[in-house]
Amino acid sequence: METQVAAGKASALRRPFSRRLGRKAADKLWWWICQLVLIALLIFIAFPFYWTVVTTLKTPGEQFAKVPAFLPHPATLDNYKWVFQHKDFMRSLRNSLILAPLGAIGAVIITTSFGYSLARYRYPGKQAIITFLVATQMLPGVLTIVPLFVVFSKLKLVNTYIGLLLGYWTFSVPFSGLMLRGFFTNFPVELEEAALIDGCSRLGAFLRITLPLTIPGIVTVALFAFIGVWNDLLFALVLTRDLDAMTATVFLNNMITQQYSSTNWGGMIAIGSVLTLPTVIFFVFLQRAIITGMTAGAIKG
Amino acid sequence: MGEREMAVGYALLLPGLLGLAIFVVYPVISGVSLAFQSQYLLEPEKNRWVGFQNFVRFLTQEPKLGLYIGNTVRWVLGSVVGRVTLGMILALLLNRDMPFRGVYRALALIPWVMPGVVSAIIWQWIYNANWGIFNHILKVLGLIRENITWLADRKFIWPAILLVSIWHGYPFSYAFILAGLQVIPHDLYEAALIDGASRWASFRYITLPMLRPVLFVLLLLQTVWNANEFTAIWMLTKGGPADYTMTLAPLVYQTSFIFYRVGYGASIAVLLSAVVMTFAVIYIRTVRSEV
Repeated sequence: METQVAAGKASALRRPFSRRLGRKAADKLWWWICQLVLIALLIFIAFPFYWTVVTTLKTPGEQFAKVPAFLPHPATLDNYKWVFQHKDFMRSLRNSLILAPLGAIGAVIITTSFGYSLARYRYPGKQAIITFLVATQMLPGVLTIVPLFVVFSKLKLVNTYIGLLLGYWTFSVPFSGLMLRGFFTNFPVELEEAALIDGCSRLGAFLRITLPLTIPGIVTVALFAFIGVWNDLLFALVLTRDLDAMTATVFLNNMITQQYSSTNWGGMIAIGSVLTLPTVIFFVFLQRAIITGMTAGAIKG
Repeated sequence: MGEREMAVGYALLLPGLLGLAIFVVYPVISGVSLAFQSQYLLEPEKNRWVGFQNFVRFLTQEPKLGLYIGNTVRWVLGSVVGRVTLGMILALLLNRDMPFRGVYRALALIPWVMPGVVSAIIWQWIYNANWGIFNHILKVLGLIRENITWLADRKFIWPAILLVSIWHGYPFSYAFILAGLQVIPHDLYEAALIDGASRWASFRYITLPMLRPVLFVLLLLQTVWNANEFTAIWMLTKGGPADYTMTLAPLVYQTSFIFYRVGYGASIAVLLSAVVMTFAVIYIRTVRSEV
């Protein structure tokens, strides 16, 4: 059918070069060209990471050298010492370290029940809710940020953990709710029904049968919620005032924008590398979950 | 399913819906209504309804209107085309057989793990006019003689910020396209090979048509996300020099929170949302017709 037509069209174009060289040799040459391009691109992609690490291990004298060195000599941990002795930064880091896991836990609870309801129960208005969730993901954050500030002020939530958390939990619903709906829809309902017949309650069947088998989806939700909180700038920038609730990204942003200690590039970039560390760790161990989340969220509607 | 079942279904939605009502629906409505008011964040006693005045002022009296719109189009086009192209190239390269493919595939995703704020600061350091490695490398390669102030010089600032946007944002396109490539049946390529088709012909007549739905969704999503992008531009340039890189999303933030002109800022946000939502409608229609 269509695919056959495509293959037919492809066959119409012959390739004289490969015939002259011999198909195998041409294939090999092509493979190596591709490999070279790939490696060049990957060097470009990895370079900022390399440069982050190298810069943080340099002494100020070396950071500001006329000719930048590709390896620190002598290597120093002073930049990291500065970071971990920076009381204000450590307070903001503590806020992030508390908010991100709580954000992930709350998101899992809310979006699991949300996604499960969309997948398993029948009621009027479901399609409207799904459309609404998709549309919500596309609204610009700057549209709601002023009114959010007003809502937060009225509810006395500005600069509080609970305020930030309520926001982060809610913002995880459109993306993760839809993703989990997909996971639960694909899960065979017969398994749950068998458990019901065996005398399990609906909740028992969910907790004992469905949940353990949909763990990959739930890990993805937790991961994306954690990283969402950890990386967020706009929301926390507007809704925190001081170190009682300010997150580490906001702290770094303020440091950059106020040019406060602007000369300490080594220190600021060391803060940056500390902030990148948790996501790197997740990435190494949970790569599959990350790819699932990246690709699943956009397809399910 | 009985009424009881329906009630349970709704009850499970309740926490999420409640949150969405308070933190999304109400702010959207109130954001739209703000656009019809003259409001200043610090002087609530001056608030009053002004009808379409904010919109009219922005669309007819804003001297930099053309610049802002042009910048937004530039940012969106540059980012989308760059991200999707780089994502496509890497996905194609990594869809071949090779030793250590898993390692390479992981490596291709890593910019995604860097928080936007951190990406902004490390690129500022790379681009630094005095000690930056970028100038140094270009000088060693003989491409430039004098250091360039990448994030202030009007000739270079746009390519510079777009490079950051592409570097930080392409992994989604890459993962998305790679997933799309992996479901194209192998025998199509084998048939083409037997028929003597060139690589280009295979790509043009098999890969591209098979990827079409994936690419369509990807382009829509990337357009919407880039139009909404605040962090990257705000952190790299603050929209400067003199609004030369100011797009609509950071403009809303600046108008509202730096200049405290909340009503006026909201009207710009509503205009941006209206444009973005037309793309969203196309997206929703597409996705629904596929499910």
